[in-house]
Amino acid sequence: MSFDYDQYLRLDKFPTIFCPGCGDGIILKATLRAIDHIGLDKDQVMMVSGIGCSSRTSGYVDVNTLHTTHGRALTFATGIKMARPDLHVIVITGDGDGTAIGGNHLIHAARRNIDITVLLFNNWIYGMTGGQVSPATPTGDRASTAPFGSIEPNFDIVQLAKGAGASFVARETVARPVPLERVIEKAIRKKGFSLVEIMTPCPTMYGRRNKAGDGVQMIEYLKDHSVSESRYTQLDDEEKDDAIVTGTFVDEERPEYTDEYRKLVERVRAH
Amino acid sequence: MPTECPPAVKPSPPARPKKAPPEIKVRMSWCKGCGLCVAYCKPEAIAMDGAVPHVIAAEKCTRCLQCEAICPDFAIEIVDRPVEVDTGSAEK
Amino acid sequence: MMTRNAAVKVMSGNEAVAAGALAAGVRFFAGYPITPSSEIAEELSVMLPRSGGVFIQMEDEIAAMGAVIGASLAGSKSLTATSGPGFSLKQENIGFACMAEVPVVIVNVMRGGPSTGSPTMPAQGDVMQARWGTHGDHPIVVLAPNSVRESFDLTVRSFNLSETLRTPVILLLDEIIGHVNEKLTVPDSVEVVDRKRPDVPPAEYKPYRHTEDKVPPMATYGRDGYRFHVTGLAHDESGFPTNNPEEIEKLALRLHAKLERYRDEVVDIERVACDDAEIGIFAYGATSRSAYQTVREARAVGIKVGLLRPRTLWPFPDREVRAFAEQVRTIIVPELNLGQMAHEVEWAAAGACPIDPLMRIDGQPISPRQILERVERAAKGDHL
Repeated sequence: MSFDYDQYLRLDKFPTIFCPGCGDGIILKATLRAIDHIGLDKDQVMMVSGIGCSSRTSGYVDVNTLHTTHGRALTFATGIKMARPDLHVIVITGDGDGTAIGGNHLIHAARRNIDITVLLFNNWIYGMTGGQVSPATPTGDRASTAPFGSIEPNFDIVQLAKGAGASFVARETVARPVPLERVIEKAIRKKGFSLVEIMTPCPTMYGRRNKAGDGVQMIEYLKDHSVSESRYTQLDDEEKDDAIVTGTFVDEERPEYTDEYRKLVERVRAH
Repeated sequence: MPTECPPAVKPSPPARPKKAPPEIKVRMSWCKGCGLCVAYCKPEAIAMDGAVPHVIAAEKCTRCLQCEAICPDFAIEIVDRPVEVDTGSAEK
Repeated sequence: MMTRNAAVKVMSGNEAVAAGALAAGVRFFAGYPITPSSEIAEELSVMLPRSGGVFIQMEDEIAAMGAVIGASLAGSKSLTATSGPGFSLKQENIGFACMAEVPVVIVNVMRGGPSTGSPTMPAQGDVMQARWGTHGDHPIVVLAPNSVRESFDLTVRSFNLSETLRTPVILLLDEIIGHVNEKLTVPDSVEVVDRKRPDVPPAEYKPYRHTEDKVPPMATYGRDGYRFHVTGLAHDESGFPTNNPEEIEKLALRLHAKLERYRDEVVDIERVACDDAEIGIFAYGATSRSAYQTVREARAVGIKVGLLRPRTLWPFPDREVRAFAEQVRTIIVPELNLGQMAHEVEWAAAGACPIDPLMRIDGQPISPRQILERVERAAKGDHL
């Protein structure tokens, strides 16, 4: 009845480097439950990560893992998936890794609709390097490189992925592990580029500077401010500002890149 | 013609195993004392003592597994104890 | 390397690179358009789908480099091609390939720099960058063909060396070699080397084992039950990150020892008229074609000049240069840059003879006459 996580873990690497109250481990667990529920073979799962706290996740999992350069996980993952369409490729990235330095690769992988599942751990900060501002840091919040409050507008990552043509886009938070697991499962099962933006607390770097409390308090905040799309429309402007809209925003059928490439090869070789 | 029906006797339900409270195991070397397990335990089977989670009432555990799902450190696990069969009166 | 029924064709250096890659077993190309290398991508955009391989034009040069590393780890021999500005972009990921010991071939068809420079003009200004472009102490193999024939052959050699050494190999052409058209006899088959496979079962496999020959066997993701971790962080034999100073040093030293051990196999030079040479020329790439003519003309009038031509630029042929420097009275180093290799020649010569750099950076090739003038000067004893 209890889920056997250990079968998927590199046990000798624990305890993890994540801070107390960091939500990254919650996402990992939901991912493992999803993988198990689908029935994927460990040998056929390929986890590719970038650089940052999010991206340390890959080292803990007993599947095929690749810890790449900052922002570039999707490029390595594209090479892997094109060379080996048989592998289930999951990319683990963060808000900085995925939308700042990695932004270009994000939009092109989405545009191609290559069958890769991106789990974007959004903790609104660059945690690993000490709390610098990221494109996801809410305007006005403090960071080590925005000591007087960030003046930058922050990305709506769901809209970004949608605009780039992703065929599956969802957002969840770590506050609700069961819906999180469900949406990750849907994303992995989806044939095409899928992106799940997952709000996760960084009590150490974000929380302290912005008086957001510890892990428990930050996760409570996520729980209290998560709303569905339909509920969102009923909120007043002030409530809307702080709302985290969760759910599945895009789930379309589009030609998948490795399929299209395979068809091209068949067509070319037939002549 | 019978004048009285014999008193109704409810058939005894079959002997039902009585569930023992689960074992709430914490891997202390992995636990970072974040308190999320306790925050998510609605029945209040566990509580924090400083940075250490303690089982205070295992019998209150409903096996919802929320603590497991929310623990970022793989440090808490709900394990069912072996089942005991209670052959005494099962009527309550 | 040649077999019967080999096809005779006329093609450019760039096309010969593509043909050599296919002969060597390339199954994956990722690239980005950039003059004067784009023909390599264009050729493979036809040939790879035709042969069931993968061709993809990525969104930038950094992405192309990431993709080829991923493909190689997933089991495909892979290639990317670029020129100066793209070569600069690729550096971080090249370093990743060095650190993670991933076989991959990177072609740089050099053009005038720095920056956007002169996209359609030849230069040899990236030779130091090829050695040191990515940060940190990393060994690298760099080859430099000087003909269409060598563009084919050294591409094959690049793949074989990268597989043997589990290291990225850089193939440096320049705009002249990339675009010149020459006759090429394409062999039916070439000798191909594949990466060493694991010799233990998955449970015992260490992807970065400090083996006796310094090259750890390489498993492929998702095949035969080998699940392993690859990272650019300093790591131990298991492939996982480490902060242990001993392990960090061990890894760094083994990466260098890898190249040291195979040095004589990797270093590859051509000697022209060197046996009795009194004056030396050290030239590579397109410039060496002019140097051939210089040697012919000088020898015709009795000047004892010899050419030492590296086909391998890095590791640098230091021993060979030292021996040459002890033999001749000067070494002329003609280059389409401001003396990048001349510095190495000077260092290797260790004072055995003066070095005479002949530098040209106006986007025009060095002529045989230019080199001959220096040879004549040296013959008169006026080189000092």
